[in-house]
Amino acid sequence: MVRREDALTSLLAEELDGEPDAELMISAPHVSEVDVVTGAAIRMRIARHLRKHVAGGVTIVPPRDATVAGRLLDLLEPLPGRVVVTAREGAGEGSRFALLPATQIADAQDARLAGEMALDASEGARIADDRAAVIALAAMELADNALACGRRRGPAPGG
Amino acid sequence: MSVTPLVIRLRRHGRALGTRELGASVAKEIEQAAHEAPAVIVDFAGVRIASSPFLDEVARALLAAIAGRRQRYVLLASLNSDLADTMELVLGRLGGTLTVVQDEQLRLLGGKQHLQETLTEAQELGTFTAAELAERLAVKLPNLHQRLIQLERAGAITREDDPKALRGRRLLLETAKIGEVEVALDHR
Repeated sequence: MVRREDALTSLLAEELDGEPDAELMISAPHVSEVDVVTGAAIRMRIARHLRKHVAGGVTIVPPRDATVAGRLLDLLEPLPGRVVVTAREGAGEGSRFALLPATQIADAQDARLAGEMALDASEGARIADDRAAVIALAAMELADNALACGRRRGPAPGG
Repeated sequence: MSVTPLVIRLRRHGRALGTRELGASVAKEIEQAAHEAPAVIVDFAGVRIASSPFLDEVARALLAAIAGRRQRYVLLASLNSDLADTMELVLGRLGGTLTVVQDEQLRLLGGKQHLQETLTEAQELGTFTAAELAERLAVKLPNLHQRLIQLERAGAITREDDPKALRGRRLLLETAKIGEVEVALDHR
């Protein structure tokens, strides 16, 4: 159930200035009830996003319950042009990507340090020793393999 | 005969050891040590994990050093159970055997059970002739010779001519002396 306070909190939340084509994802598969205030808040949130991100879009994953989904979409009508409603609980068309924190691995020493960092982080998070070892080895090996693949490919075009 | 082994301490490379490049660098260090020292110990104290490619390079270098027959012994030390398991897998692929010091005992990695039994008895004797060990193990000399060759290839024992032999040639065999190894490793 989306409570009025949740919807209003979302509506009033600070939004970082991002890329003009930033996507807003509204994921509501587990929502079991919606009301008029919630609908209005979401509609305003969508409008604000489209205003701030002129090339961006909005993807809505509606509630699984068909009745609740119908009610929510009714409250959001008419949907602006850059809003997509998808039945899938994943990223919609045009947003098949994710941003992950990444550390640049320049050489084998960096790859080894990535393993050491993963080991420290896992131990800091109190992950069991054997699992921490697997995580750290995976980080180190994947980084080393990526370097080996990168070297085989040669310099980038124009590089 | 007492020797002072050269100890290669891997902890200075970090707690997590990986990449073939680092392995190759350590392999060169082992090769260099094998030229300079009468015995070599690769010490894993403080090392938490090591990847297969890294250990593969280390294992190849150690087996090559043993094959060079310049050392009295070539040993691994202070491997935790994860490291020992990974090294055993690596040695399985290479078809080799190495010797590790564990709880004041010499233990084989990658070797068969009867070889371990032979090494345990040999360690009890310290310095011995083949006939003495054969008697202790209740096996025939030709059978024992095969085992001794394998233990030599694992860096666990060395042989030299016995200067006290009254006639003909007699070989004297020797395992690493644990006391000597412990003194060399005593850095923690």
